[in-house]
Amino acid sequence: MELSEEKELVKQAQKNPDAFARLYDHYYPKIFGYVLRRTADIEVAQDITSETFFKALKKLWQFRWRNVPFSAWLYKIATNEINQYFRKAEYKKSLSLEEWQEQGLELMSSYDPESELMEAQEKIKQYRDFQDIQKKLARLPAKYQEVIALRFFEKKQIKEIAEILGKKEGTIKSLLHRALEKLRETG
Amino acid sequence: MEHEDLMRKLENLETPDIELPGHKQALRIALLNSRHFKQGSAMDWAKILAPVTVAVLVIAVVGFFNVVQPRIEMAHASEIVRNDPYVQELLGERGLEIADVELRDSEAFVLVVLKPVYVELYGNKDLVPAPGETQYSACNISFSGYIFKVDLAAEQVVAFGEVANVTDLGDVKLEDINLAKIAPSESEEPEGDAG
Repeated sequence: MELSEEKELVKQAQKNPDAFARLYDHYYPKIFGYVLRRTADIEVAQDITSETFFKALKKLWQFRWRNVPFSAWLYKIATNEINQYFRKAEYKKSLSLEEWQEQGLELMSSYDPESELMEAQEKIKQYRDFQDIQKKLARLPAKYQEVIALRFFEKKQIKEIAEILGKKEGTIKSLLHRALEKLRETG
Repeated sequence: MEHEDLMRKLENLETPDIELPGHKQALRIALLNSRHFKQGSAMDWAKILAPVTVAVLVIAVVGFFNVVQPRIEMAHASEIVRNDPYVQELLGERGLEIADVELRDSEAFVLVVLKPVYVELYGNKDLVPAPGETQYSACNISFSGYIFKVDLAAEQVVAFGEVANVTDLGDVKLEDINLAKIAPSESEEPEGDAG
């Protein structure tokens, strides 16, 4: 999506559900994928992705266009939610998330969350190398997890990581270097 | 493992790319049916109604100060004149009535003229006695009423003057009329020290 097109769409999405739906369709796979690769837990990834989009919708009016892609803003919300999940023993769903589950499930009779969840859990088990790395990564402080996940799992450039995390490119480079050292130390 | 080896391993790492179409669709429906967009339409109505409400309020305020308030003050001035003991005598016994009121700053000018019945009986421009007179006489044949000046803040009649052949304050130049001041009655004089 072109930046100018995205800018217009974000503006429209504040009032227009169809415009928001277009943004959602475009970014859901990226955000869900990012959260899943950070947490390696399908159920948690579902909850955090839902929370991310509800928060994005709620705070869309606060979004100010600064020539940074909308995705950077979404990644930032998702990153905050993930960090919150790692800080707490159990990720607490907000009321909106529980509300949507009731609404969403009622509206979609064909949706079988249990079987979809089990199927996805079986799939993720096949990525053994990833799971090993992810377990080691989860032991590191959040600031190191973020840069490694964005750089190597999401294949983001240093500039994009800086936009998402709101830090300078130099800071990201040094964070990344230290993060790799820490990860290497974990064995 | 060396730094470069770890980087190479991470760069070539196969990461899960799993999709949950059911979750995606259910979340989509929930988001689009959320209160946010319903609140949005309510906000749209508020944005449309706000300028209309402001315009109505401005019209109401302007209307009050240009139409309602002057009428209230004119009615108040008429009431002050009616309640004045001297004017009461004129109105009741000599067949006069309030014909017109005009506001100027904090003052009001009240025109008191012959009632229509007197005009019919005695002609258009005579037979109203001057203050203090009880009989109609030739000396007041040009007289048709009085103008009373009312101090709205003090709520009292402060001056008066005679007018001839006037039924409307628009017909006269108030500046040209000699108004005689009315001294406040003894009861209205400020009280001095008792001792």
